[in-house]
Amino acid sequence: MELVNNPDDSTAFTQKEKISFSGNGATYFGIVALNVVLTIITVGLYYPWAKAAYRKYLWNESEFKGSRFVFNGTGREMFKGFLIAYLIILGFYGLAGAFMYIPFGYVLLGIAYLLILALIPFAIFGAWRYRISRTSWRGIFFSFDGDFREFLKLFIKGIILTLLTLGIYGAWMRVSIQQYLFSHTKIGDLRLDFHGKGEDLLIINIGYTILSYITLFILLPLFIKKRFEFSINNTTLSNGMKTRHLNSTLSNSTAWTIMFTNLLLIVFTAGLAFPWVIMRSMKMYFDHTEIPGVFDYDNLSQSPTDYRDATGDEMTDILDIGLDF
Amino acid sequence: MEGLYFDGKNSKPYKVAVKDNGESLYIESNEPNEYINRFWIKRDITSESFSTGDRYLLSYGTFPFERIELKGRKAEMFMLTVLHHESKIKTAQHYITRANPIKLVITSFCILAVVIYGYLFHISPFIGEQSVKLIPKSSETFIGQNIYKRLQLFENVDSKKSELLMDFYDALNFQSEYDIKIDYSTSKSVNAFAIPGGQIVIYEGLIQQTKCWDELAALIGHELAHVNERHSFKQLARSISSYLIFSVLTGDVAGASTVLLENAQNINEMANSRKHEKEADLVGLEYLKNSQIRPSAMVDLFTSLSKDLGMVKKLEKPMEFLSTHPSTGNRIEYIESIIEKDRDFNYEPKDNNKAQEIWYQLKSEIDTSYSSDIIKLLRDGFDLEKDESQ
Repeated sequence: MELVNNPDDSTAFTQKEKISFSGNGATYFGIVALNVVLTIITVGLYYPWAKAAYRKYLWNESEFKGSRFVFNGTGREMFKGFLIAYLIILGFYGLAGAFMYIPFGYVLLGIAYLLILALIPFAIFGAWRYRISRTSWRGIFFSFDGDFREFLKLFIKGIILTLLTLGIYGAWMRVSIQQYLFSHTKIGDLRLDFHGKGEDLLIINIGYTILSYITLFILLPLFIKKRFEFSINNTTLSNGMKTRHLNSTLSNSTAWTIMFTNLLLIVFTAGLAFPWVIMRSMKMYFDHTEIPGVFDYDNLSQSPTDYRDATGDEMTDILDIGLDF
Repeated sequence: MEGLYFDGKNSKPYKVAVKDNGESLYIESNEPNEYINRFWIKRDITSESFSTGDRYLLSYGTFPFERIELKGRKAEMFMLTVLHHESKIKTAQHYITRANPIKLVITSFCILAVVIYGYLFHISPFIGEQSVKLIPKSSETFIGQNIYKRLQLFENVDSKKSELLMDFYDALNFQSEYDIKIDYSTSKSVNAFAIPGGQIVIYEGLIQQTKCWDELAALIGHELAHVNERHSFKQLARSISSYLIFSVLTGDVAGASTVLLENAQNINEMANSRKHEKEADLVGLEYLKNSQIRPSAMVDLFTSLSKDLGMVKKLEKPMEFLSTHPSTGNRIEYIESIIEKDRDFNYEPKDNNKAQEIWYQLKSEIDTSYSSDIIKLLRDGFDLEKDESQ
């Protein structure tokens, strides 16, 4: 989509909004402690509720134009998702295990493992959809209208090309996944989109990997900052008439200082300071993201769907896939 | 009570007054031209109080929900009248968001420390030990054999000497419910290990260190105890039950905490396997007693090992807590004290000519100083003894 610069809203065009994050390390630590105790007492069954508690806290501490974000997911629906995800994965592994005992089973075994791989796009798609659909602001639910078949095609094409190009296409694949997920995400009637280019991501990845290695990882924060910038600056919001970019104001020195002090915090507390580190990181990202102020945020209309299936979301946890857009 | 009302259809905020009406809340718009006039039945209201300070969110109905945001000190008091059906966990979360940060951190840290310690060192080992009882011996042997098949690729097993070791084992007359198989590895490292289900491997390097046949008997006793007491499986079950909690705890928390927890897990495993080593020593002693073999052979075994491994012993001492085996010196001491204190060990050890003979045979093939002449001489010596007794 083209960036339309309407002279009528030149003042509104320069207007920027921010999400303010007020999360507090001590409080988060308290929540962790409570979750750990309850998880242990229930032999792990409390886990989905614990996850809901973390998310509720992080969402609730994020404020936009005077209203807090809300995570509407519940432990109960995530528990359901967890059970289904677990049964599916266990089923696939069981199948793979059974194939070992029949003749020519190794061929079938290969197929079974491919099927397990096929769960990855399912998990990513489902997790994104769940997280987006369970987020609300001023009672307006975010929504996702992607189609899984389309996404799967995109994913398979990405995997094949990545394999054929010995990993080089990986940058384009990542961008195309992010593009797909973002462009099907709506906040009321505002649509998100992503315009990043694979070649830019590839240059960032290669350039900064080399830079990190030759500086013995001292400049690694700059790489993370660059990736953040790539993600934010290429994201747009659109109401169908106007399209505006988000903008990162994170500077190299700020990124480096915060990440380096985070590292010191972790090292000198043997990891115990992790709640503070998470809070500091989140605050850093939110503080340095400018959201276009041109849209009428007081007049977003409700999305039509209510989606509560957490299977994909739980699957990303079981398969240990990170959604770090 | 003033608040912001959202109708669930649009993000437009409406300034409203919220009044407590006993069983329900009455919501009314304050602004001209805005007609908001709602009754919310209290028991159908869900609340989010899980937010810093004095922010509250009330939800009502089904999707898309109506919502009210409340702010300020008054809101806290007002919420008390609405939140009467809050769950205990929600109350705890509510308390956490309002607690004094320093007290909160200290309390949380103490609770975490106690709970994780209790879980790792008491609950998880208990679950581990109990769950092992559910595994049938046959599947233990099956799994053990699979493990061994993989390991065997790297071991150089001498089948002839393995047979000798088996004969040696038979001569000892130790008891086991497992089908015991002992393999002789030609590796020079001083090592021996037991695999679940009955497979034991002894390295040439270790046999070389033994000074007398009953030291080898003590070693086999120790390894056999690992098999009979199912130590490997207990260890595995513990690791799994600990791992479960780690995966759960670290699921949504930053990777940093994993470092801490994994270290705790390693220490936990080491402590557990130290316990198992000690147990294997003690059970091994019982086997020696049952077969009327000299119990102090166990002490001699570790003395022989420690003499030639002076450097190892030096390194081992300060690391005692972290090493999987109890330090050798420590081991010798407690075995000696047991043999001294326990009257059961006060028996006259019997000779075992067959075992002795096999041991000499094994030794002579490793060590040239045990030349065939000496063996012959020694054998003759036994014969003389026998002759005398006859």
